[in-house]
Amino acid sequence: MSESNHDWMFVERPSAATRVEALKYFGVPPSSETELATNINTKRRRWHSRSNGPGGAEIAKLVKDIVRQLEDYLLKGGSFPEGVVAGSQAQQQSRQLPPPNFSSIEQLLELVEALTSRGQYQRAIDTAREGLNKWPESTEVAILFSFAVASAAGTEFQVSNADLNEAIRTSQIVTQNEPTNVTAWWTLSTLLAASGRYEEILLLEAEIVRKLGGIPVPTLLVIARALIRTPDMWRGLEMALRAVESDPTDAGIRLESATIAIEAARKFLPIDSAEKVTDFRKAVSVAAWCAHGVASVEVLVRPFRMWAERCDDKMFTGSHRFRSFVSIITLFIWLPIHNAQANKRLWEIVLNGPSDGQLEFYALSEMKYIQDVHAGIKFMWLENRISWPQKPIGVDLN
Amino acid sequence: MSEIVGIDLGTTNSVVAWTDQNGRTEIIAGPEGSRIVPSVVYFDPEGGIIVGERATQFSVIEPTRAARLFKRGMGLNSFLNNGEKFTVDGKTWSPEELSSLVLKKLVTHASSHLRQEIKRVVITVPAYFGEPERAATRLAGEIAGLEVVRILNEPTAAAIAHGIDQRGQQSRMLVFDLGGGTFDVTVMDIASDGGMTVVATGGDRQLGGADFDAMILEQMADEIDLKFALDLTEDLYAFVDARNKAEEIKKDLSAMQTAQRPLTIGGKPFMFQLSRANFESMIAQQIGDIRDTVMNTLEMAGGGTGGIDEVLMVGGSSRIPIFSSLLKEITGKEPIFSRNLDEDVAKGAAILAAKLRGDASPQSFIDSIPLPVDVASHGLGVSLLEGEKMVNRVIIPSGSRIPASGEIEAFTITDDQMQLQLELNEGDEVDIQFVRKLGESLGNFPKPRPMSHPIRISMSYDADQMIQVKAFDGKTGDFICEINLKHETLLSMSERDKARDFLKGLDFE
Repeated sequence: MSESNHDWMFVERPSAATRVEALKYFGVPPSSETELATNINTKRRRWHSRSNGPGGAEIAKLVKDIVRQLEDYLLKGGSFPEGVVAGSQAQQQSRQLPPPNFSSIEQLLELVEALTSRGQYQRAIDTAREGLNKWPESTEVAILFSFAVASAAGTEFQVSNADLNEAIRTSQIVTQNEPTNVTAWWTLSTLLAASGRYEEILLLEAEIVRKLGGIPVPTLLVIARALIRTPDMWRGLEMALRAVESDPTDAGIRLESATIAIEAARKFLPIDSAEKVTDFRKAVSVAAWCAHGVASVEVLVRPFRMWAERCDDKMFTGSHRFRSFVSIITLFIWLPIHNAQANKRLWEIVLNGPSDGQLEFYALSEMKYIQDVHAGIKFMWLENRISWPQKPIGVDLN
Repeated sequence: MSEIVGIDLGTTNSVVAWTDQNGRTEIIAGPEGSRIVPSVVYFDPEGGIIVGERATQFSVIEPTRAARLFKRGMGLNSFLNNGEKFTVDGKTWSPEELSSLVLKKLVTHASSHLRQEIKRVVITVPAYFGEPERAATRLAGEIAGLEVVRILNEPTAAAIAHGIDQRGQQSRMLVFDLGGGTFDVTVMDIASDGGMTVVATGGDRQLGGADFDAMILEQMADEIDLKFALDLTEDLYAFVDARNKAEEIKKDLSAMQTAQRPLTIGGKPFMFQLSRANFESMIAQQIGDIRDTVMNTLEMAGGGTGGIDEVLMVGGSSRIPIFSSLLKEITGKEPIFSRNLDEDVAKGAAILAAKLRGDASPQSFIDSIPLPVDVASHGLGVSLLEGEKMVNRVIIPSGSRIPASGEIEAFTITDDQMQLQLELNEGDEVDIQFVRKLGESLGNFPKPRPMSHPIRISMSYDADQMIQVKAFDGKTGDFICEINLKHETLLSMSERDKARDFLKGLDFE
């Protein structure tokens, strides 16, 4: 590769606080996004070496630090680091939007990126569409339009079906014309997932493998999440595991995979059968494996692990006074039978709720992890209520 | 033949060793019985100078009168974090002068032990030390009244001590040297005759065990702040005590999963506890830096991660288990530990010193040790204007065997050019901001030259580590100017003489 192709290696700061600029800072393009991690690694090592060289160590250390922060942003889901863009003008750009009129594709990219990063999704989509009308032959603009819609679809913003369908069509054309474009596949799979077209994502999986020889991790995670919402859920979990295995040191991938596994586990809630106990435990164990070693992700998974561990334990729900009485008068012969009848699994107690006045339910509902795990889960007893019931006044659970 | 001893002049600790004619090496202990002398100098208010263990003790009482980690500043203006010079009672002490005090102390021990005055030494330095740092080390020896017969790279010394050169086996070795204050990684080729050649080297002069201690100390301060709302740094005694305990905890964590030490702050007892896992996550960035340095050095050496036959761990901080795991992961080889992590560098220097002394018994192995091959630790180049940009054009690249020489052709940049500015740089980078200027010279052409008139620039780096750069008219061969650099340091001649005279009158117990 010629020296000019390596120019990005020597750029000290990105020129604007946008994802596009951050990618450019690491040579994407001309490299593809699959090479991003390698490029980051190469650049970090290069500047690390300079930071220990005979001259310019201070500048080199500064750049190394910027590389680290942007690595966090691009690969680990961190936010765009403040104050890393070049020059005062560029720093101003990070606070102010670029001019709304664009005369080049580069300006359009910058504007759409800036709008997206500020959460102005509809304006970003409309601007990108304007660009698409202006440069209908440009693949870059086509990807940008789909990317703007896909970015919005991943948030709470309500993307219209018309926008979604248009973006999907555009992405499909790009993937046909440029089958090795990694971003285009990610965009298409994200859009399909946002439209709930899971069956098409399954077909997409095989096609991506055929075209790229494998599935890039970001796309793998999109597909995994989509599969979780289909009957093929366990394959989705397998994919999440594969994503972690591809780079076990990447905390971002672990977080994403763990949340996918948690979403899968929540599908078995509320637990109402022994089969669901098994399945819930299986999904939680995947989440725990994905979270392993990353403290912040482990915290997320911990309540689920605790419930998986405890949910099948038994608790005595009968009357202690009656048990003592029966024990004595039957000379303890009836005690095992009574215990078997009165002992209930924890998941049964939670499932039945406070309706039959069991104090044990209140004891369980006081455990924060149980409420955390079941947040948003519908129980029969929870209908018409906003939150879990508090223990009745005057009742001593001890 | 006068004696020569080997000295490991370390950032946190220093050691002196001697090898007899039969090849037996001993570490020379001081009168206190300690084989390792902390590289700490304390200036007492009465004007006395204390070096070593006692200086460490006094530094607890009066930290501002004690100097430590000064090796990090060799060849630079300062070694203090704030960039200021170390000054006590109005006198400023350079890292070279402070190092000379440590050397003087070590040599005093050796002279007393060997019952003869020691005047000649072999001193070790990190392999990635550049010319100014090496020159500063030589100067430290000179100030101490010593003849530095050889500056030896620390990894080479460690390999000699480990007997790597005695196996008659050709191999490529990675020496990982993580000491108290500096980190050094070196790839060296061992020939079947034991000859050792440094192929590539990398390191960080600002990274070592002392930095890990500082991070533990920071954690202690945070926890104390959280628990008692007290600032550890405001209680000097508690702070110094905590600093020592931080080091103990780090050492404990090399053998145990959890370590703890009691502290007292503002009269309140506090038990500080740290697990190995937390420690590793605390130093994660440094681990990443070390990984990058190792990878860069392997890349420089060529042959990739698979080309390493052996990994030798040197330096006290290489005991930290994560580093041997890291090296195993990168090279696929189970690292071997130097027999005595703290003393082997000095031993290697002593063995080489015995060889240089030339009186080894024929039965000993000493004569069979080939002299280590010196290579340029960094590239040497000159500044040239290319287009509109000033660049460094390397003439002698790093890793070149010394003596080395090279030549390039340059051109005048304007019409009627009368003068030539010659600048000698250290570093392999093209970008001028990432190299260090070692010297410059201004010369005149015999008569004005047109633009693009050729200039021949030659450079030589001889066995005595003298660097010479000469510029000639490319057409007529007329001499224009030159740079002669031999052991240039930041201290002037008069400052050196003054320091030398001062040390002459100094007595160590």
